[in-house]
Formats: sequence, structure tokens, C-alpha cells
Amino acid sequence: MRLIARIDHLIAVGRTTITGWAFVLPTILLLGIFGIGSVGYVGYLSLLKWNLINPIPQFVGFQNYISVFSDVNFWDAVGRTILYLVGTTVIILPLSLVLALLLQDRLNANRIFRSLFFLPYVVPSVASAIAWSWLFEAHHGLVNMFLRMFHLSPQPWLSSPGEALIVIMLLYIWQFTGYFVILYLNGLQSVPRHLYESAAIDGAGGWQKLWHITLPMITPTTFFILMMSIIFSFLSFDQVYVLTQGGPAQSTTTIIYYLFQEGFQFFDIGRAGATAMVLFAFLLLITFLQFKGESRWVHHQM
Amino acid sequence: MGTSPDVILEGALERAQAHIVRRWHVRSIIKWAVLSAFGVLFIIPFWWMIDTALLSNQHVFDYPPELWPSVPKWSNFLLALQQTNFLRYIFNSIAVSTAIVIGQLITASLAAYAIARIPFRGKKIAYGMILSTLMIPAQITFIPMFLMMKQVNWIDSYQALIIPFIGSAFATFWLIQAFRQVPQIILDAAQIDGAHHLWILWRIVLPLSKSALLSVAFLNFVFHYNDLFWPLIITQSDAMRTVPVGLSYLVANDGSGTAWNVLMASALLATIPALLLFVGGQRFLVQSVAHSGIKD
Repeated sequence: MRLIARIDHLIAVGRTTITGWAFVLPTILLLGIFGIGSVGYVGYLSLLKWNLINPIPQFVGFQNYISVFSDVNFWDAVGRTILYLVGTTVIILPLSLVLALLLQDRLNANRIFRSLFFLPYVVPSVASAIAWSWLFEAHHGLVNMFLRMFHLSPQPWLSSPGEALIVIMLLYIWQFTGYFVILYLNGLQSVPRHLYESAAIDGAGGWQKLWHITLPMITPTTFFILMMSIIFSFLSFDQVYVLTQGGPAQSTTTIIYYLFQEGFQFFDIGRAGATAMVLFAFLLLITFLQFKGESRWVHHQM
Repeated sequence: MGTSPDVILEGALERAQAHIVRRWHVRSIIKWAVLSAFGVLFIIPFWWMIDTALLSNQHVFDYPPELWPSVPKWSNFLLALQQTNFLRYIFNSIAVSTAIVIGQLITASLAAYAIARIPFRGKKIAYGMILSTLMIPAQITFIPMFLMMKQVNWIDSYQALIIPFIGSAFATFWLIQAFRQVPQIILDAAQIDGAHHLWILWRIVLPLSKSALLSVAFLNFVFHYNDLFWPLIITQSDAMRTVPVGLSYLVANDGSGTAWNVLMASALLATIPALLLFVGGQRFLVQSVAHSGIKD
């Protein structure tokens, strides 16, 4: 009897296990091939010499990494990427917070503004970039018309190495502010009302409440947005591809565009693989720092 | 004789009230001023696109520009449709994104159900593997994926546009959270009645998680409809191009003699499907964005 019961139990466990794995199998297989498998494959490719001059792949160890790290263009791209992500994040974070603070009451008018700010996010970034190239067109673009209206000198914008990256930054800010406003609105909602009420009883004013309650309580959201913004700007490809193709004079070649050029324009698989691995390592580092920083700096509610 | 304490108190109260009202007024004026200013800034690109798209060729370069075309030239949109295979691009984009989203919903709900609801051996391993792929940015996998597609002869095909994206860690992760909300007691009752897991998933869990499913669907549809990088490298023939790829070629081929009005008309046409989704599913989109900020 006992034995039969045990066998029955084992069969039941076996059946649930088979069912469970059957359910997760499609996802595991697809993510295994295209996610983990791809990362492994790109790691392997980064160890090969494989380009137009050497069409037969040849194992060269870490030579591609050395070659990428000693490439001035790579470091220029890194510098530009950091400039781009710092420049966009420093503006988009406070901007989306201020807009969210202004929009936090549930009014119909607020809902309209929220939709308006979010709208650019759903527009294909290629279409937005095309609009941007016309807005910042050197001779007849709207921006230069405004400048002329106020008797300021029109700027070359996209054809100037000093200004092209700024135009792309403005596009990024236009595209993603609404997304972050919604994240902030969500964060603001989770601040417990009673904290404001007791602060009001203690005679705290609006600014004091903002500084001592709201900002500390939404640090998890701020951290999350910070990380998202860094990752989004790191991976901005469409904007660069449509607006400048990395130019003029490589002034908008960010890391992701450098990767695209190495892989799909110069067809240097090995160097592109090494670049991809470096990029991946950097993003992992950011995620890690985010986790670390969160546990250290973020105010958790008791 | 001094005034009675009551009167003093009343006066003070009135002054305080007036002060509060005044401050409130100033504050709301500032609030609406700031919001309107940014609202205008955010809407200008849209207005400029629409305005330009409706201008005739001789008015495109007018200074000062016409704030609204006196004679809207709707035929620019017709030109935009005719000068390229635009309808084909739109068909491709909608077909590909729809296929991806349906595939994702199927694979992700199966996996999420197993992880949220079936106590099977090795679950932690499966879950850990799915979670670990959340951190892989798609862009770094494009070179190996391109080589894989080449090996199976899928370059320039619908399979290559769709299949790599059908497994989604993001969708799975999200649905796990949603499926955990379904009360255990309902599932227990169904199991006692001898219902199979597939039946429980289909008849109980999915109907109860409609809003999560729709949120995933909307957000991922918009994402894949707008995606440029992968379709750009994997498509070759004009007939396989998606909207972003087709648009990007319009810019690249145009050079200096750009017909801005037709180009803006094309960009607007490209935006229409995403815009319709936005109008129809704004609630789910907003919900899904908000949800992406919630972590356990």
C-alpha cells in the first residue's frame, strides 16, 4: 500500500514537473537562443579576426579588444555618449519631476497635458527625427526663423559639429519626458497621504513638504528613472541614424552608432563583437550600481 | 477701550484667509503658465509637421511661414503614398508587430502561468534564466542574430522580422506579476474538479488578467512598430521594408533637394497607426508605462 502511494506521489510530481517545463519551454528556448545564446555567440565572435580583409574567421584572442581600446574613435564615441547621456539626463529628470508635480491632482485638464507630453513617445522615432531635421534645417527651419525674428543669428545646427549633438539631445528630451512624467506620477501616488497631513498639522509649508516628504519618498522612482534614462540614451540609434548618420565629422557617433558602423558598414565582425561586449559590460555595471545605490541611498518606507 | 479679543481674532482670520487665497491664486497662475509653456513647446513639432505637410511647393520656404496653409494641399498625402511602396511598408509593419505581439502573449502567458502557479521542479532555474535575459539589450545581439539568420537563409524574410522577438522576458515578467494576483482558491476549486492547467489558464487566469495582457500588447506593439535597427539590417528588398526603414530611406535618398512637404506627409502617415492605438488604448499604454516602474 505504502509503496503504491509513494509511486503515485512520484508520478504526480513527475507529471507536474513535465507540465511545468512544457509550459516554460517555448520561452526558455527562444530566450536561450536569441538572448543568452546571442551573448555567448557575440563573445565568441569578439575573439575572432573576421572582416572584409580576412573573410575566413581566425582565432586571435583578445586582439580585437586591444584594437578597440587603442582606437581614438572609440574613446571619442565613449566621451560623446557620456556627454549625451549626462546632458539629457540632467535636463529630463528635473523637467519630468516638475511636470509630474504640477500634474498630480486628478483634473481633466491635467489628463490632457499628460497625454500631450506622452504623445511624442508613441510617434515612430524615425518620423520624429524627420520632423526634427526640418525644424532645425539651416535655411528655412522653424528654429532659425524664430532666431531671426528676435534678430539672433541663425545656426547651422545639424551641419555643425558643435551643435548636432545638442539637436539630438533635444529630440531625446521631447520623446521621453512624457514617459518619465508618467513614472513620476505613479511614484507620487504612492506617497502616503497621512505624512502630508501630519506635516500640515506641524505647520509645514508647501516647499518644506516637497523637500522633506515628497523628494525623499520618491527616491526609488528617481533612481529607476535615472537608470532608464541612462539606458535609453545609451541605446539611442534611430535619432542619430536619421538626423546625422554619425556626422558631421563624426560629432554624433555615439557608442551604439560606432557599433553599427563596425558591424554593418565596415563588416568587421570581430571588432563589432568586442564593442558589443564592452557595451554590455557597461550596462551591467550600471544595473549593478543601481541595485547597490538603491539599497544605500534610497529611503525605504518603514 | 480696546477691541474685544473676538474681533481681533476675526480680523486675523480674515487676513490669513485672504493671504491663503492670494497665494493659491499666484500658485495656480504659475502652475498653468508653466504647463502651457511646455505644452506649446511639445506641440510645436506636431503643428509644424502638419502645417508643412499641407503646404504647396511654392509656400514651403515662405518667410514668415504660414501658420496654417491658406489652401491646404491634401494631395501631398497622395504623393507620399505614391512615391514609395508606402502602403506595403504599413502593411509589413502592422503584420510583423501583430505577429510578434500575439506570439509573445502566447509564449509569455504559458511561461508566466507555470512560474506563478505550477509548483514544478527546477522552477527557480527557469525563472532565473528568464530574468537574466531582461538585462540583455537587443542591440548587442544583432550581429550574432544576423549571422544566425544568414545560416538558416532567413535574411530579408518575415520570419527574421518576427521570430527572434517572440520570446519576451519583459512580457513574461509582467504577466507573472499579474497572474499572481489571481486568488488561489479559484484555481484550487478548478483543480479539484479535475481541470487541466491549460484549461485553467485559458478559462480562468487569462480572462482575469485582461488589463495586463492589453498593456503588454499595446506597449510592445508600439515598440516593434517603431523599431528601426533590426529591420534596417535584416531587410534588403523594398517589399520587405517596414515603415521606419522605408521612411529612413526617403531621407537618405533625398539629399539637398528635399521635398519637405511630402516628407512631412509621409512622416505623418507613418504615425497614424501608432496614433490610433494611442487614442484607443491610452489607458493601457499609460498603465503599462506606470507599471514598468513598479518592482518587487
